[in-house]
Amino acid sequence: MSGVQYVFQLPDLGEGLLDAKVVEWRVAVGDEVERDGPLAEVETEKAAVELPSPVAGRVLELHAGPGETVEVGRPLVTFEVADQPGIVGAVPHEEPRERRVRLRLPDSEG
Amino acid sequence: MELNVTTSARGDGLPVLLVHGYSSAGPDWKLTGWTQALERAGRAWVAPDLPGHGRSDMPREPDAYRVDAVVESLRLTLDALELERVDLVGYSLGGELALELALAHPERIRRLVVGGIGNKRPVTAEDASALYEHVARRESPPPGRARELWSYASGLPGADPVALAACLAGISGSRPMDGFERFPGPTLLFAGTDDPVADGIEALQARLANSELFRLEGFDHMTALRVPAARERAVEFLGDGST
Repeated sequence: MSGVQYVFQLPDLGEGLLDAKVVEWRVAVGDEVERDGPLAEVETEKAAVELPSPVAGRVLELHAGPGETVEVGRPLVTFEVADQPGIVGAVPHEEPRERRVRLRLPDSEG
Repeated sequence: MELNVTTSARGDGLPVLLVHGYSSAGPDWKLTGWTQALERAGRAWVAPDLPGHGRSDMPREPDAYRVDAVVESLRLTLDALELERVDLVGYSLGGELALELALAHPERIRRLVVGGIGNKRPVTAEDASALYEHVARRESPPPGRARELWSYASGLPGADPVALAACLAGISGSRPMDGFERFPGPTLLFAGTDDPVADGIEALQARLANSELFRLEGFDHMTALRVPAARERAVEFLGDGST
């Protein structure tokens, strides 16, 4: 498989949480994973959550062992993902899964 | 009043409005796996941070948190996002707010899922008011359930202890939980069997004509929201949002 490397960093999991602990990997090095397939169960100080894979590809490296804590923004998994024709060294474009909006609500008295 | 709202980037059918509980915030619906379950079912979702929580405004007066005031904020949130009709999910305090929103605007709520509440609030108006008076004066509040809830909430990152005491006082000082039998839409109630906050959920269910009750054996107030069976049942109950 000719491919490019994609490094998945621990995403921001919620309000002010700076890190998360890897409870259990659901994949091993060499595994082929589908996009949105289960990657790992991680635990923050608020809850345990299953992290889905952001891409389809093959797992090249897991950057933390079970029980280890990873800071938000640090590498979690390196994947080899399929190369896209005509594009060298790029990673697949990811559509955002969610949006954050700030609403100013009218004064309910008025 | 400014509210921070997290929404899905895509999805079909009626969106699902997710209303969190005391000391929680909108993104907790992701930490507990609910938004992923909704997305897998193709549903769009909207998860506001309630006043006093997350990144929303944190007024320090109890009146800002009276149930009718917060319900009005939720209605204005739907208006601002141009959502005429939604499915509605609420847990704990968010469950009470969801029931009240459904009662106040039944034409805007198709299906309702409410978890982690019983037939009365966990804290009395007197205890919550005493808590607020002490906290506002920077005094140590009297021991009891109100202080336990407030103390836990105040220890979380980004918390404003005075706003959280005002919130507890405003909610607890609102008119008693009542009249929910007037909501005509299909309603799913759920709670852990080891959740004292949900004492009386059977009585609540008996008053809701078009309702069903799902108990999660062995789970408590915190864990019932995280167990996959709860969100799977809720997502199944909500369906594809097309009817």
